[in-house]
Amino acid sequence: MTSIIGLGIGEWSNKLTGSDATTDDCLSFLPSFYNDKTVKELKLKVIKHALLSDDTPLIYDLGKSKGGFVSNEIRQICWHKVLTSQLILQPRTNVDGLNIPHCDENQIDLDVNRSFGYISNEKTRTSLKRILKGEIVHFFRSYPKLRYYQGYHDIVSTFIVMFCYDSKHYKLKTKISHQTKRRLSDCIEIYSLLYLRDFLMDSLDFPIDQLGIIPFLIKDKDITLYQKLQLDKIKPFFAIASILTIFSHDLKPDTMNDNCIIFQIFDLMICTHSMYTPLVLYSNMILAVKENLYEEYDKNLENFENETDLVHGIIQKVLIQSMQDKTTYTKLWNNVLATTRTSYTIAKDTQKKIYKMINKASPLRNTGSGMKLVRIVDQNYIGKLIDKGISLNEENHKKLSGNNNDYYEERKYNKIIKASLLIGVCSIALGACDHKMQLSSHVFSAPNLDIPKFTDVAGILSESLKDIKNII
Amino acid sequence: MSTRKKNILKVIILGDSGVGKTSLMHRYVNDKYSQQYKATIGADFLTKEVNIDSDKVATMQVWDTAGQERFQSLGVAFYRGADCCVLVYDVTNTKSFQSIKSWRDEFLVHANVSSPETFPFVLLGNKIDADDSKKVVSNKDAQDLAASLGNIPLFFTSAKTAINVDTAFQEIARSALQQNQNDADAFEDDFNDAINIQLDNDTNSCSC
Repeated sequence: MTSIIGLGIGEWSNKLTGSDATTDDCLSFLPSFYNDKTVKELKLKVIKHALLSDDTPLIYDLGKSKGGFVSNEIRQICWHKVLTSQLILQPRTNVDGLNIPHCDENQIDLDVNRSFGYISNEKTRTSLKRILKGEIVHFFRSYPKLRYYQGYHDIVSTFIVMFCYDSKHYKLKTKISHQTKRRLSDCIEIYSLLYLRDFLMDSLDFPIDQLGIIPFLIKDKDITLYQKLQLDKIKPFFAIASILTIFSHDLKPDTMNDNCIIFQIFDLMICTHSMYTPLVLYSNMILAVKENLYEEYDKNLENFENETDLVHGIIQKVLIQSMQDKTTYTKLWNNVLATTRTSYTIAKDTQKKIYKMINKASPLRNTGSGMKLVRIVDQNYIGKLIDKGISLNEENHKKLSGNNNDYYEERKYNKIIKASLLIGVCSIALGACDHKMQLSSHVFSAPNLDIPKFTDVAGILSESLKDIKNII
Repeated sequence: MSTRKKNILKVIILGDSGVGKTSLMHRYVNDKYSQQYKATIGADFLTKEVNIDSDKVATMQVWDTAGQERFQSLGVAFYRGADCCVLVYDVTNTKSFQSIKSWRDEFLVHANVSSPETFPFVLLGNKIDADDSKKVVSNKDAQDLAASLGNIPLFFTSAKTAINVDTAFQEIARSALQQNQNDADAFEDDFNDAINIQLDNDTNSCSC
């Protein structure tokens, strides 16, 4: 149960306390004869009530339950309410920085130009691109130390579609009010600062560390699948696009649907205030399609050059297949979301193990840990986390590139050690032979009868080698 | 999975962001073009059955990669086992042309190919449908670069208007097949050597 310091817990949320553990349906207490539409309408009323009575914990619970915030019209307000309850943005004092271009603006231009391909109306597409570019550039000029990555534009696009959505006419607006724009910018800024810092460095090292958590979670739930996909041997790069974009690279908003999957994923993520949520969601998705994966794995054994390609290939294939049919796609993701709504919490001992895999300033340890939620009032805290992240990333990178340079040195060094070991082993063996010879001459006074053979020396040699191996 | 898949030709497309890697792949595999391909994140692939020199059949697996520099760190995983590497630049973008050499070097560092000197690369100058006024990389510069990289084949293409794409990929398929066979032969040689050593040992032990 989420608790927010300084905010009261409403009556509704008390009723829903148990819902996390048993079911993802926050209206599960309603008689089952209510159909989906009625449930949706009722939930909408509860959300409006929660907003009116400023019951933030209840809003969190509603966002985490079945259907999330249900409708885009109310979702905008909920997202803003939830995110601003996690971080208070300081009013900007220095606006001069906003005129200085950020070093990644070229890349931003390229990706913005390729965005919203799924929107057929050209005029709408152009105006959305304009808003997208404005928002991304504004964010990076405000935080010039952070770096843009390909995929960030997908996340920002998702926020934009949400805030430009016209629920009444099932279409996207080409212009938004000043107030909506402010809310949109706030949401993008808070979301990026609290959850995406690991991705906003100048390398992929931290995101790759995060990906390592996926096999770890799968292993815990299904060791057979883990072994079949050889997740102990290959790097889980197949998940990079989904994780870097919180699924928004592949799951695009459907403008005819008021409650599409990608928005429900964002609902769940911000209400669990946890960057573990996308990782758990990904693991659950792999588990949900495991039968298809088994089948494709066996079918494609001969079709790929190596294991990494095979696993990447079959996961991509199964996901693309699931998206081609709207019913299959909705069913799959609804199931995955339902499972995740009841399993997003990471046990403490698991979290301890995960801490060893991630950097010390990672959102997974603080602002996106999903642990007790504290509203951050001092934005300097975030600034310090950013600086810490940047310096750890630099250190890490130096170490990694240093390792590459050291490779030949290390090989040379190894050879010297090997040679010394061999000399050592030989002298021990020869010493032993000598000793044995002397011993036999003493006992039998006839050394010629019992001279150690070559095989004895070899035996001693292999024994000594075993000892050395054990020591190493 | 230790056996080599002889009928799969693995091709990697590299180059700066926005030069048209995804468009070239889709034009070749599906003969389609769209202005709306989204940026590639990580790596995607498509496959196509190919006939080479009208008598050999193989499956070409084209791996399309992200162009932003940071994604190169995933290369270690995706470049492995490649049979040919396609280097793409945009004829309207000088920087993308200047990056070609570093893309090639980066590939060789990560791909762990058996003999870097003979590994096949193909250079593509894409977007030749653009207005002449926008073209900033001269054909001569491109030819010089191709020569300096070990006389690698060079094609001027347009994924948008389907110029030279098929021709380029025929050459890519031929190079990949050649590389694949070389690797297979090397593998076979190693395998035979291993057997010979085994036989030698047997002979020795028999004589004891």
